[in-house]
Amino acid sequence: MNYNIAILGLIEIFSAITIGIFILALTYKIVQWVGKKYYQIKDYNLSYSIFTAAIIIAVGIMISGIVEPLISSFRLLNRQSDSFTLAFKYIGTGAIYIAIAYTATVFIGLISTFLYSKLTPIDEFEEIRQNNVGVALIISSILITLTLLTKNGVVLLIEAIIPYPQLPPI
Amino acid sequence: MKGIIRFLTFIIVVYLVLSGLITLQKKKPVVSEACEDGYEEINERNDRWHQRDWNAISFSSSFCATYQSEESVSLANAERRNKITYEAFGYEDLWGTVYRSLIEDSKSTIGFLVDSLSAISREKQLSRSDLAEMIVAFVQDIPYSYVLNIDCDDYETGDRPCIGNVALGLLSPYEFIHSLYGDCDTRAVLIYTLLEELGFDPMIVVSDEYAHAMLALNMPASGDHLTYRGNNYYFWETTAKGWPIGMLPPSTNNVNYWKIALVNEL
Repeated sequence: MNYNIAILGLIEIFSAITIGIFILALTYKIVQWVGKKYYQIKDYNLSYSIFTAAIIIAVGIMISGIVEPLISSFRLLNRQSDSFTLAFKYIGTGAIYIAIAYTATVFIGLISTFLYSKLTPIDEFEEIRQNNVGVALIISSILITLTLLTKNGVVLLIEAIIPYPQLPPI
Repeated sequence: MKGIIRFLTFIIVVYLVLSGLITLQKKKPVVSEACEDGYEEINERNDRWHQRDWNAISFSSSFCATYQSEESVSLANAERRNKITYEAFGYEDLWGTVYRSLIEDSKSTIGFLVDSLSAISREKQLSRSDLAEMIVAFVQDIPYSYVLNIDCDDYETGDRPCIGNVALGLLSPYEFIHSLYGDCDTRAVLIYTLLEELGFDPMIVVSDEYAHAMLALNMPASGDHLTYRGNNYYFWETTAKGWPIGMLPPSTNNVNYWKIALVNEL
């Protein structure tokens, strides 16, 4: 077994689990809070649960794109610092990448909801509040599709801030 | 308040676990030697005495190597390179044939460099992967130059050094270490020769789309790779310092555009 690769694998797994737990818990809390406070949506509303699930999937898809750039950054920073400074820089870098991906997802969520509300004469959140599963499914599909379409662009945006070594103009 | 305490505890635990894992992953620094990069001409025949100083990529160490190169050997290599003939059916096949001819021709002339790098590795007790990294870093440390089959004046080279009117736009390994002029495939061919001589399993990959060549190495690693006959060959950018194994530059990171030009079939 290659010891260094095993440890790198553990760092990757640990990073992915930590980011996953943190982001998904945060997203769930925010969505629940927004639903209750602004739309008076109750816990047993199936439509809102579907919508929440779609948001969580969308966030998961987008955040999954930051793990590889994060590991690339780690490998590039690895030689320069001691363990504690490197851990600090790694968490800081991760926070910046998460912020970019999370902002992108929120932006996409708002666009998809706005898009659907412009395409139809109905009030979507009112329909979800009244447990209209059909509307929830369609908004969720738009949200997930837009996330899948934009994920590569967001990853590229994150790649642009990785401190890669300079290359000559080949 | 409870939420904030929980969040801070979470961050501290993550920080401590990460620090622990990173400490386990960090390689011990290797004793470094200090010397200066450069060469001097030692006689009127233009023979040179070189001194190279370079740093490892993933661990803290610097290396120092000295060697002597002869103009007459370099010219003889150039003459044989000019006579390389090839029959090929595709882009990667063509370059593979050319690279193989150069490598076979060069093995006898760069044996001294193989011995010198192995001696450094033994002295510093490097592992196999560290030895490969030391060799790639040695070549990465040599500044990039254009090697063109046309005149340098007919090409936009910027401030980069350029050597023009070279058949195939490629120098042999000996010419490279003598002149220190090397573009992407010149570098890949030198590293391939050194690594193959040391028992590694390297590969040269080329891309018509990116107009670039690169080394790939079958070694325990992680990151961007090509799979060939069940083995993973990890890409290694050689044209600039600091690129680790398995990391493709964002400008050339579509693996589908990379084709195998040369691999040891034995």
